[in-house]
Amino acid sequence: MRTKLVILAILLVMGIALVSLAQTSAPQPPNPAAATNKASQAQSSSARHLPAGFSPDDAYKANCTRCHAEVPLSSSRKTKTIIQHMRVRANLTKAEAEAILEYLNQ
Amino acid sequence: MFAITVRVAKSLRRRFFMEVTGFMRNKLSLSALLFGTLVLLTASVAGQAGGPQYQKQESSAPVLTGFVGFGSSFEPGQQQLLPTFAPILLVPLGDRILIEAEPEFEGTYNHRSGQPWSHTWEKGIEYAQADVFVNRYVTLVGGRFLTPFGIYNERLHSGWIRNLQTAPFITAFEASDSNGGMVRGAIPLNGTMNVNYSGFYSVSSDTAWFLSDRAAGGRVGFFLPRARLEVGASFQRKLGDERRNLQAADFTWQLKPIPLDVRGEFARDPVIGKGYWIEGAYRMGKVPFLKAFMKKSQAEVRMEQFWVSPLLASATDTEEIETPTSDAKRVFAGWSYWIRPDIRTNFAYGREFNSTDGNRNLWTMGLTYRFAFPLTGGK
Repeated sequence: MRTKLVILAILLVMGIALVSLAQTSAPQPPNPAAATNKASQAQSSSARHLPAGFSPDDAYKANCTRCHAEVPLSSSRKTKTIIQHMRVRANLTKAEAEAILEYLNQ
Repeated sequence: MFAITVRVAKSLRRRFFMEVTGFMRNKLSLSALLFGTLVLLTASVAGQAGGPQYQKQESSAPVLTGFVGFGSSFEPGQQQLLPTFAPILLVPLGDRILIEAEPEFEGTYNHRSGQPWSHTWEKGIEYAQADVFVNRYVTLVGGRFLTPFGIYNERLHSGWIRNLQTAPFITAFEASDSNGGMVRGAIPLNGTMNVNYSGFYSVSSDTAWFLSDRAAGGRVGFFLPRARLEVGASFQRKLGDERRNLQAADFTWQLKPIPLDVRGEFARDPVIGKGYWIEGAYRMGKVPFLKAFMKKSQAEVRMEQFWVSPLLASATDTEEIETPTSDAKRVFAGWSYWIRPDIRTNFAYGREFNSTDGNRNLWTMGLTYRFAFPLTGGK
């Protein structure tokens, strides 16, 4: 009985955590200025956290081709998912993952 | 006729309510239902994140990726055909959660001189995990995952990635799966170095598709992006009946002046043994002849050595052991050619020097196709 209650509590906490995490990425109120500059902000955001003078091209070469050959170009939505997967698999920093995504979508 | 229909409907309804009541009485089922509802709610909320925005932001799409491979191995008195199918399902829930799973099916069609062909198929779940990107530096992983011990298991074992079809000796005890939780991530330090880390805890499981040991451990890696050099160290404590510590060290280096990748690994298990492998891969794109062919080619060399532990050396029943049961060395020279960026062929010759079984030649040939399809619409 006690074990079941513990499992129930763990599942509840996990569920609430999942919901709260997902909500943090939910739509924000419109901000015209921010929206207009979204692309450039994203670029500068990833570049800001990369080493100085380190381009998205460098991030791709230093991380991806270290393990495998270049992969065929594909849709940006698919690429974004694969980069999420590779961020976990290869322990990429967030900035590297963003820079590689930027490079592959160029 | 109408009366019969009504009676049947009532009977069905009564049975349905009885089953539902019985189901709801089971608290575990209730908690599972609750959790499932919350996950669905999460998916729906997360899905909105990729929905219409003030300026539409491209959302990630579920993807089916992985590879299909066909390998073959020839050595004196024995031939093997090795088909493999390893699909990977990736389902993102917004930008912060990724569900990923990879079942793997590996066939071994074996022929020994004077005997008929025999075959076996190994099936298993390589990983089925939920990744939660908590923040820039921390990712939580839950479920079944590849044990973060060394680099071969997590990064290089996949058939379309590995340079040589034959896995190194030490992967027999290094490559494993875990069921439990893991925390991992990468932290950039002063713009010149990234520290990446993984720490895990796994419970024991005897379930056929979810085998795992009770263990805890992790890996720390130091990556210099400018030099393209990474050095890592791993530790694992087996917490089952035979408690013991395993250690590993690894490095990868992609040289800038010449198109050469070098990587290697050392691992030790006090019960099985210890060994290392070191591998070089030279991309032939700059070779001045047969340019069209060389541009898609890579030459590979691997050297490895394995020392059996005194415990294994004195064991009598070694049938299940996948490592050599006596000290051994092996060298490989291989060639890869990409027919297309996603189709790779590989040919390799190896020679094994075994302290008790003698020396032998080994030839391998393989073909892999790496695929990736979005499961919903995309550009």
